[in-house]
Amino acid sequence: MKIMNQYFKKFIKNKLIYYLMAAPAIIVIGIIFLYPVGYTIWVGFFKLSLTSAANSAKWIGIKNYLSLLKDPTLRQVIQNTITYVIISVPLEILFGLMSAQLLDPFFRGRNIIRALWLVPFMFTPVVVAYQWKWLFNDQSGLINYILMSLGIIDNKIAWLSDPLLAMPSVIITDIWFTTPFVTLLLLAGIQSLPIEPFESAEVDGASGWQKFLYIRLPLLRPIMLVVILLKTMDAMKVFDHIYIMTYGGPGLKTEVIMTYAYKIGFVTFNVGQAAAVSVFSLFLMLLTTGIILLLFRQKSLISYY
Amino acid sequence: MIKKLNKIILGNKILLFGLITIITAIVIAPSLWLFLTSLKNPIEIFQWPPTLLPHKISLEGYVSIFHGYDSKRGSYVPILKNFYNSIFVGFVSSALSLIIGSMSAYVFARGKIPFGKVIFFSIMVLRTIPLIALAIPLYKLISSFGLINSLTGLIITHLAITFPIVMFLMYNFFLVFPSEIEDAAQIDGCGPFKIFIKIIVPMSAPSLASSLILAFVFSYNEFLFALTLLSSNDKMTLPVGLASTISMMGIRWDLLSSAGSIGIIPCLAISLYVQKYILKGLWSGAIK
Repeated sequence: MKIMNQYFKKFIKNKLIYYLMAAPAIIVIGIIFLYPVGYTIWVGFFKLSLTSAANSAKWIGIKNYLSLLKDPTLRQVIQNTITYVIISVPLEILFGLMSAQLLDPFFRGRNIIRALWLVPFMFTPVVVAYQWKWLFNDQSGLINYILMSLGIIDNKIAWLSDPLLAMPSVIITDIWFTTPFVTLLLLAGIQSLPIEPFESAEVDGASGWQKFLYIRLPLLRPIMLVVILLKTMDAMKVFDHIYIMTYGGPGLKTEVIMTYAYKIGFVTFNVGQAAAVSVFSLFLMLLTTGIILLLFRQKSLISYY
Repeated sequence: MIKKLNKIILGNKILLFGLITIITAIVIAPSLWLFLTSLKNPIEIFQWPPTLLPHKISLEGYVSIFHGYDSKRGSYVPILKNFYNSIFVGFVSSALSLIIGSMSAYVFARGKIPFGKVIFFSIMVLRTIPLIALAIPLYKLISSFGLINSLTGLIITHLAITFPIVMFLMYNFFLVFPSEIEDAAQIDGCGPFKIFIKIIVPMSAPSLASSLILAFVFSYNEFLFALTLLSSNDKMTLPVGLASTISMMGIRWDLLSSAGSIGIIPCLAISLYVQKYILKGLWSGAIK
């Protein structure tokens, strides 16, 4: 008993504080994510519509999921989402890395340039979406005007309603809008790297490129993994600016998972089916996370995570 | 030889300068265009060919925002109130998420509690769930707390978006942060919480600073939860307020561009203010 008591006292003195420090995070996540996720999975088994009475929900098992898999639109939607992710994320990582690399060394006016390069990220997404929708506008858009006065194109192009150009247009918007986020994360990462390896490389006469390729990039790998994961997930969840700029059109050319789920849930009010789409997309994201973690699987990383 | 080397260095410098200028132009042009638009009158906005500088500066958008009243259409414009709401929500939720995020990241990264890394990764995975999937159940949950149409309810939901980002950044920082200093402090008889507050927090200032920018901007600009949880005009945050003016009266470019230009000020101010902490960081201090 006495030993127990002693152990308990020791626990309170040394360990309890750590549990208390982690508790708020776990509580917030529990309230905001766990309960709604459980609810969503549960609702996916019902035939439930927002327009019908609340107690009219009917248990239909996995029918929502089955009809989802049969839906030919879904294939197109997944294809679009993957295209969007595969094109936008690598470009953003590349540009972000380049910007972080440029902004790291000291030069006069660096602080101002740093703040300026963050500006796109600070705009409200709604404003960005409308702004770019208008820049891409075929009648009075600035992009058409610039391209025409440079003599690159002869006629006004309808960027957002052209089946081939709509996707590139929303991707360009995404790149402009979210690359600063990548830059900021990578810049913070670069600045938290230890200085010693660079010093010894300098003594050994390594060039700037060599230092970047063989020291900085490998050291950045853990933060790179986090950035790629965050960015991929955000790109898969893209909603705001596609909804505003193209509304998934023309046809289904820019319809992505989230706009699709939104239309099912809030336009046709089929809550059960929308929940099924959400669960399906969650599954897709877990799969992607798994693939990325596997790709990054390296000895040094396993010891990290 | 030295001349040649100097030439290369000069060439590099010019190249870097050119790159920085070009990128700055690409980054700034659309934002600047938005600002210039906010100074034009509604007719000039739709002119072809578009005019770069406004012929006659018109402050209609700004005037209706600051008066809270659109005299031309005789309608109420609550954008200034929405702007204050956004600042309030952004501040409170980013401050709370800095506390929650850095504490939990420290505990998880240092393996202070069993299954810490498992919990960390579970949170990371849960964060990936599409917010639209959460909107309906969250609405039910928040209304059972009686917090619908209140900023408190919105802040609670924003915490779930912002603190994981802080946690990820800080987690990575703590992984590369040497633990010897903590060991030394512990030997000197410093308690765990005191070590965290007195040693860890000051040393992680640069990472905390970039987390603060991210957390504030995400919460300040968050759209979907604010859209579903807030219903009255004077409770709405800026993004929702802007979206509602659009749906009511078509796209009001003067309002949208003026509010967009004003809306960026708090984020810009915070990032400029926080820059000095990013610079003052441990490692950059060690270099010079």
